[in-house]
Amino acid sequence: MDLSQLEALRHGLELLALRALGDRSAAEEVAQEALARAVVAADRGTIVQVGRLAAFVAGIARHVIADRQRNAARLAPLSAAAAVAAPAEDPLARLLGADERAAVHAALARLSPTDRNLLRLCYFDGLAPSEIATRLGEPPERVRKRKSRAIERLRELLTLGDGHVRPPNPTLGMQPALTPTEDAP
Amino acid sequence: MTADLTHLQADTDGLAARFVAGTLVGDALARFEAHLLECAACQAEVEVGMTLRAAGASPQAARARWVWPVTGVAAAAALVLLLTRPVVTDSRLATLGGLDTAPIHIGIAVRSDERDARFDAAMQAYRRGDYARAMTELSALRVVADAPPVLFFLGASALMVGADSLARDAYDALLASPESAYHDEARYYRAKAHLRAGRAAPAVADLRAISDATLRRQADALVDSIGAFGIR
Repeated sequence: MDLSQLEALRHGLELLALRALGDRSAAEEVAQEALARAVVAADRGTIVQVGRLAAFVAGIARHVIADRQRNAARLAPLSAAAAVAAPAEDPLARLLGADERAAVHAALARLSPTDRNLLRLCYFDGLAPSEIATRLGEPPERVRKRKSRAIERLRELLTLGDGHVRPPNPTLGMQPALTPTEDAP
Repeated sequence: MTADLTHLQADTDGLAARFVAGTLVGDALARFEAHLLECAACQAEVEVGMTLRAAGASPQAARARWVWPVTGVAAAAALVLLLTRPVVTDSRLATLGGLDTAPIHIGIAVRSDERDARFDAAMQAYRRGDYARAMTELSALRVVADAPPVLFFLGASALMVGADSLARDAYDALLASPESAYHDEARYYRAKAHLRAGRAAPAVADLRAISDATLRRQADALVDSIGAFGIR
């Protein structure tokens, strides 16, 4: 088992753990522990078929995540009891702070209502593209293209910090400091 | 044994979105998870999808109707997509937590058995600047040999790759063990890890506990800088 191949799986592992746990540090730790366990397994002579490394490591990660969830449940008997009464809360609900939520909502506000609706069907209702196509009466291929364009746009808005609502003229009030005035020496 | 997914299949079936929504189960879920570890395109989609869901999924709203409120002003949105990086509360503190160079390894043996060979291999990676690999190997070694040098350089490699919580964890374990030659330096670097997380108080406590004279001067300088920000 080649360790450099293992390292390439780290980001994916973090995302996988983040989905299950909704906590950035915990996700980092799960990724690290899964990789470490894979190294130990390799040391003990576990043979992983060529091309099955990712599946093997994903399996390890599921165990690490399950261990954590069990520990968390043990440490919080009250919330476990509450979980019986209330429907399970999505762990992702804990991921973002109020400012970050606001930033996402601002970015979403810049998409068209039909795109927002499409994203809701995808990421909240979890429908397959074929089901969405039927529901919207559009060909699946068009639904897919529209979705990837919306995601791409949203990614740009979020990574470029463009969720801000800009003042109508962004240069006003910003330029003077950089422009020499006429009476400057 | 099921066949590997291609990205085209995953995309056609909208698996990334269903993974995010939690509607993928059983074998289909396991296959997608394995694919996700290797597919940058699916990782990108999952990042955006989880960000969306995290912004819309509030405990109070439960699974009622999903309405996107339109808010006027937003905070730094660039933070949102950096899902795996901890949000730093105070960037000045985080700067103080920076490291220009890694702690130097001069080659002290762990124990005289096969663990030495593994430690050496990890430290070779460390010396050539491959901190990610050093971290992975030292994490594995820690399971069988949690000696101070293993923990110390695990913490150091973790700091170098930005895995701050793992670094803190390693230094916590080291500092809980009987006093060793590594303890003072471990306090110094754990302070760095605290600073990166924006926590000034525990950082100052660690820095003040250092007794080694040389390190003491660096520690005092750092305490002064933290004080200069008016954060205690």
